[in-house]
Amino acid sequence: MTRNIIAIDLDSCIGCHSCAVVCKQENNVGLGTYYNKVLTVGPSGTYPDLEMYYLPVSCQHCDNPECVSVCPTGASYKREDGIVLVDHSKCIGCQYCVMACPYGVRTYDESRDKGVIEKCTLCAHLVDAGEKPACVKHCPGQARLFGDADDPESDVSKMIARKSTHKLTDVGNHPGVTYGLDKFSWKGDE
Amino acid sequence: MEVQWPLLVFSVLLGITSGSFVFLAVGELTGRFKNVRFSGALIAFACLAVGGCVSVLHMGHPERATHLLGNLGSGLSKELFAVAIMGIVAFAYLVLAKKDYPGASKALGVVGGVVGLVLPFVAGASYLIAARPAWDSVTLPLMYTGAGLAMGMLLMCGLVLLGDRAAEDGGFAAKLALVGVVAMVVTALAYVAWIALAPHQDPTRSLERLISGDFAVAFWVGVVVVGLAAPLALAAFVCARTGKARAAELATCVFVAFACSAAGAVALRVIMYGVGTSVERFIYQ
Repeated sequence: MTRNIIAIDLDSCIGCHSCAVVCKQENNVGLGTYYNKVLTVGPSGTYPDLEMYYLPVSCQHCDNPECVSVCPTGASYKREDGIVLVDHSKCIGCQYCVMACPYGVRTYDESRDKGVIEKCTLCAHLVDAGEKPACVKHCPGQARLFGDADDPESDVSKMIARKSTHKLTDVGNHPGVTYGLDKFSWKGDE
Repeated sequence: MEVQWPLLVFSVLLGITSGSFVFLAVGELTGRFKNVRFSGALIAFACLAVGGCVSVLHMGHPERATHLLGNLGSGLSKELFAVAIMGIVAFAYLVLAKKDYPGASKALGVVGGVVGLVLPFVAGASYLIAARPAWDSVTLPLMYTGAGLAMGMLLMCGLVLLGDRAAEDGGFAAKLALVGVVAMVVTALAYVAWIALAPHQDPTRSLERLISGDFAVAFWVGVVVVGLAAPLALAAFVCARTGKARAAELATCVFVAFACSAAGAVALRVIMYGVGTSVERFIYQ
């Protein structure tokens, strides 16, 4: 069974924010709304032993997405290939999923398609056309990888096999995005 | 997170409905409060109706409500069903209160009381979300239930004391109201204790915000003094003075206690939303 995820090699991420920019372009994301953001973690430690890395964050396309469980209309749903989406034609804008998301990556859109929930779609329209998400295609450091986590030959599986991997705080939702980080110590809870 | 005012108002009004029906159910079982059945049920039904309308303001697309049957496992769907059942029972009881069908009134009143106990719990349970540690405890729906019992029972007790059977039923009504207030105090304190004990502690959802931080005024004045201590003192006073003081004066005390408990319920919910931050807040707060 296909389980599409994003894997991000944080050792290769240069913090250029290209992924955030192309995401806005590709998905026509409104002003003040973000599907994807790049955070700076650190600097931490004591000179000269300082550490800093960049952490791109977006919807984690969780294995057990609480946003889907709580959605009263079924507008939030998980596809068979693992991508979590919002069907805007069913969304009543109750914002229950926004409350249920542990990462603050969903938002109530008042700018474009008023009154519905917006979030990263993992560029499902591109994936369905056999392409990779825009943030993966345009990452200059090739830090972002996309593929089937259940396929040992996929790029994401290979990165997961060779690096120390981390996930964002898990409160039972089992986040899908996997971060690889060897050079520095992971600062988040897991 | 930001205070969700439509949901807050809805939960307070829903609580009044629930507590009122528990009070009326006890009256049906003990053969009391017949003279406030209609007025009490009317107020309870009106609160539910107004609260339901206000809650719609929270939605971006209420016209798509037909999709609400899309996921019956959702806490919101369960809440909607509980509200619908309460509304139907309340309306039927209201109609019967004007007729003389004691058996049917009693049966429906008891059903209303049971639904009244369940409704605020179901409404509060929709906030049991692992992503927001300060909410993810059974103490939250219990706090909703306790506040509902206090508000509804105080309001109904006031009606009884204003009615023509105050001498006969006033003492029992005052005791019931006191029980409701005690339930509110215990459950509210239990919820505050949960805020201190919740996992994934963070300054944004810490007890310090209540004790000495930006919620100190809302907590100490709004919740502790106005919301809990004042209703408790007033309800105990009314209990002690029933039969000795004029019923109308005692009714005033009870209505003041009701207003205080409602203000306290609002204050505690404001705090609840304030400390209801998610485990991580990467893009949005």
